[in-house]
Amino acid sequence: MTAAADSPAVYARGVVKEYRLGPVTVQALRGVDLELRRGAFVVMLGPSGSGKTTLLNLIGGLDQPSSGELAVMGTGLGGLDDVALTAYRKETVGFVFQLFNLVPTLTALENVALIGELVGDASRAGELLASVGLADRANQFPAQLSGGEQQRVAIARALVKEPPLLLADEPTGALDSETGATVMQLLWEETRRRGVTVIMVTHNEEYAKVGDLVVHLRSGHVTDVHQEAHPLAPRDLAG
Amino acid sequence: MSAGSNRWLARKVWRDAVALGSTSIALMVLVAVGACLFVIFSETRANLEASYQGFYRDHGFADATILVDLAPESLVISARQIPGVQDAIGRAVKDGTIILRDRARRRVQGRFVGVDPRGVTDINTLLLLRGRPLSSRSDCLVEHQFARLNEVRIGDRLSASYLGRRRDFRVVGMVASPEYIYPAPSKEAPWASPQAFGVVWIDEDAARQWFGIGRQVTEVHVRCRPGTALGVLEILKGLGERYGLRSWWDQREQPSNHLLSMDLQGFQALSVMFPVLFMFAAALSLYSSLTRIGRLQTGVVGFLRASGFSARQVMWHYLLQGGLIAGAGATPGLFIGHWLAVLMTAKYVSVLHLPNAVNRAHPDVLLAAFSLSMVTGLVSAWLPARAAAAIPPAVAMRGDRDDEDMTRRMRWLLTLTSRLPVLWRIPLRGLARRPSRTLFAVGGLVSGTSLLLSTVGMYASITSTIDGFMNKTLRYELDVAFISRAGEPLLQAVAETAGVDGVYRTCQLIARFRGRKGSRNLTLMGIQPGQRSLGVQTLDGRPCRPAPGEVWLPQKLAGAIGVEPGDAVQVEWAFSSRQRFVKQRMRVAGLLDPSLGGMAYGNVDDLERSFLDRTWPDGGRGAQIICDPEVGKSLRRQLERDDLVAACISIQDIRDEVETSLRVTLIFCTVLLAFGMALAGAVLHSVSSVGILERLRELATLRSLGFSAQATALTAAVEIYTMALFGLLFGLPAGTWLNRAYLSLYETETMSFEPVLPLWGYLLVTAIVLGLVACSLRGGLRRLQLMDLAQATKARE
Repeated sequence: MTAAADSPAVYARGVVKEYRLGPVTVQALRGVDLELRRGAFVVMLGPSGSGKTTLLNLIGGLDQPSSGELAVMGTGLGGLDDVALTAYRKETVGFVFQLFNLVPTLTALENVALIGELVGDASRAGELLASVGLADRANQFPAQLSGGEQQRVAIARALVKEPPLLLADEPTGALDSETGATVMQLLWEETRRRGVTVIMVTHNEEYAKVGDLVVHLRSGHVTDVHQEAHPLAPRDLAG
Repeated sequence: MSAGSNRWLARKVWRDAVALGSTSIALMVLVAVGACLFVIFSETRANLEASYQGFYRDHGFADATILVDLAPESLVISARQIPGVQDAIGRAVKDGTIILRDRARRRVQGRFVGVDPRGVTDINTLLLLRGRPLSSRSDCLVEHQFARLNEVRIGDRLSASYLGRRRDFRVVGMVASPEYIYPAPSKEAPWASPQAFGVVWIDEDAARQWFGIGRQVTEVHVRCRPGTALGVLEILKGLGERYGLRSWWDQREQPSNHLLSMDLQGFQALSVMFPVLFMFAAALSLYSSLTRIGRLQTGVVGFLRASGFSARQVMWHYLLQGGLIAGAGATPGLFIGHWLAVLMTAKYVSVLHLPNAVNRAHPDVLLAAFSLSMVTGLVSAWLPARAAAAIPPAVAMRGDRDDEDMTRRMRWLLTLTSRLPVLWRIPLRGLARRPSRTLFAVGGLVSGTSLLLSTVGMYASITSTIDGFMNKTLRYELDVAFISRAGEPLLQAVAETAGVDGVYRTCQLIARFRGRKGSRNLTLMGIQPGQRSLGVQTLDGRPCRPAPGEVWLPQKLAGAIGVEPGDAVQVEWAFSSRQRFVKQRMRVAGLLDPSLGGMAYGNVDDLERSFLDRTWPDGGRGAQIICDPEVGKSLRRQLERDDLVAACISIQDIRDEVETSLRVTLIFCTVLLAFGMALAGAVLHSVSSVGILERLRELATLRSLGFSAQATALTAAVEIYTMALFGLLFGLPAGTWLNRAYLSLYETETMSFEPVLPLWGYLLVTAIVLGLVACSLRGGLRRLQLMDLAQATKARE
């Protein structure tokens, strides 16, 4: 795996993703061309079935394209075997899931330390947890935390390994609007401060205003890539 | 709610069961095997019991019997006058030697029974299986199992020797008798190979003349009105005391019936023990699977409740799920169980040659098995069903249940596991996450492990006891019985034969031991101090060296009659003849391990002096010969030609019999082992598949976050292996106990199996269980490998 420092965060050319559902072949992505620069906060918008989550999964190495060229941080993902994809996810990508996906039998601190240990440094888990405002909740199990708190733990967990790329799939989708805004602000601030490239999938059009880049998808195609000259901080969004 | 909507719910129950796939099948298999085992053992037992009872009824099986030395026929008249007695007969019966000369050429122990050839009696009548009834004084009828095993055919000549008086008979028929369904020679020494113990029925007058007893009888058998047998037997015993009462029994204690009853008891125990293990495991696995379904379907429950289904309907819906799996498992289990019961009964009755044997379905057994299965299904489904129904609709609609309880429960594990690598903490705490599921899974594994271990233990205990008996106790090549002391001079010639390493005189008599708590009959054997041909050991493992005036008793018999070492015990020779009832007080020198062939031991010279020499005839004497096997063969041929020799048994004969019975034991244990593996395997399969299914999102998340497939698989495997280790931790002691409990069913005063569980047994069972864990994990780990990470990370937990 090679990663040239000047390569784009994401480079996609003619990416197609097909699924077989019984006798029917469904094209989730129909030739996506995309280039995202490093350090950008990318918001991916589109209606249900537009292919945004599929594209996110391909970028995250959870799935592989049926055809086309896809490179993340200079690493071509096409044809990587399971071991290489695992290594890629370990070294390159941080995930924030809609349903938080914390390990229920580990405390907040341990959830973060889990990934710290994976990359060989669990010592920063407490610091990360503190940075998301949960130092006093470190020894609570996920079930003892609110949804917003759980998502903040998930953000700390994603950042503890200092990934160059963070993927967030509807990170506020399971939260009420107020909590969602708080979590959004935290995600925006922490990733900006660390210079992490973020790709966030959302239904919420409002969040388009916080992205440096806004990618619109429809029916498996990228229909628009909009560069935002003056993105807002989430806290400045109305409502 | 309308019937229509209930129909759709019923369809959902079916589809949910199908969706569980191999887990459903594993659960059904557990229920099926449990029901099947219940039906096999219960129906076989019911069939055999009905067959025996039918045979007893049709052939006037005596309700009470006494054996005396010799009594006038007036004893029979007196017996008929006892209140409750419907009919009584007296018979002349003596033991001697059968000399086979046609195909098999050997001498074996024989019992000669005089019967009225006109068949006027209704008590203990014979069933003629082949041939014709007695018509002359030289005709004889032979017990069919003995005839078959020794290739005796109709028309064969058969010589019989009683106290040196020989008679030749012509075999005219093969018969079955209610007294000898299993040919047991006596209550005191019931075990005999059907090949080495033959019962021959001859003309009554010819028998009396041959025995030289005139019109006297040696046995009185009575039929009584229901419920009077025990009272009648007591009065009979009182009457018999005057004539040298040797032994007595009611139907329950009758030697053949007693052995058959032990068999039936074994079936009864098996019909409870094994189905309970399987049903228990099925219940636990069903509970954990249905709990999983309930959790997965929390949103569905919310929808149902929001749509107007009552909590009761929701509960019934999930109860039905347990009922469906139990019913679907029980149905084939009943059919297969019935089919196997028919086969097993047929095999049994063909060996025993029981005429008009009952071999049919028993609706009560089938109904009980089905009810047992349904109760198992419904009871195990009740908790998950109740939990599903109890979720408030609003909570259910959100799709996730409050896990607050879980975290409280897990607090204590926090410190315990905090030093472990994080990947190890996840599965270990996972055990506390659903404690009831863990508990039930471990319970299922304990059942499987204990069944496996008790089976291994059963085989190890039986083989070890037999090995000990064959290799440590029996050290002779030939065991010779003489018809009288006149045979003893033969020993001098035997001792001088080249290749003979030792000749030891022995004697045997069936004695009655009277202690503080009562009396028991048992074979008393006389041996010489330092006798190398017999390795009799005391309880503490020392060789038994009986001195004059001393007797060594099996531990259990001593307990039954209430004597301890150092006590005096009255020894009576119950089977002496000529109305001389010999009594002798002896000192209990010590206790013996009552394993196979349990006997009491005394000094041979002392016993001859005290008992055998004081009566006539002077049988009961014999010898054990240590020699080379080839020399033994030649010696045997010579000895069997001599009329002073009653019987000659080689160690190889005994080994052959043991091997035959061990083959049956091995098959039985292999079948049980297979059942045990099926039990543990099914539990593990459902535990591991549910465990992985339940944690699919968690495991997928770990994979997404960069953990390797191996690391993720490790967390899944650790949880299952930990449960298996707990299963072993409790299952191994439970199996050890079960082994003891099962073997104790077959314990009598003269025989017991020392519960043995060698280290290899524990290792084997541990290896089987861990191997089954590995197999059961394969499916789950494959699912992990193939899972769609993107989908699984979004799955509901």
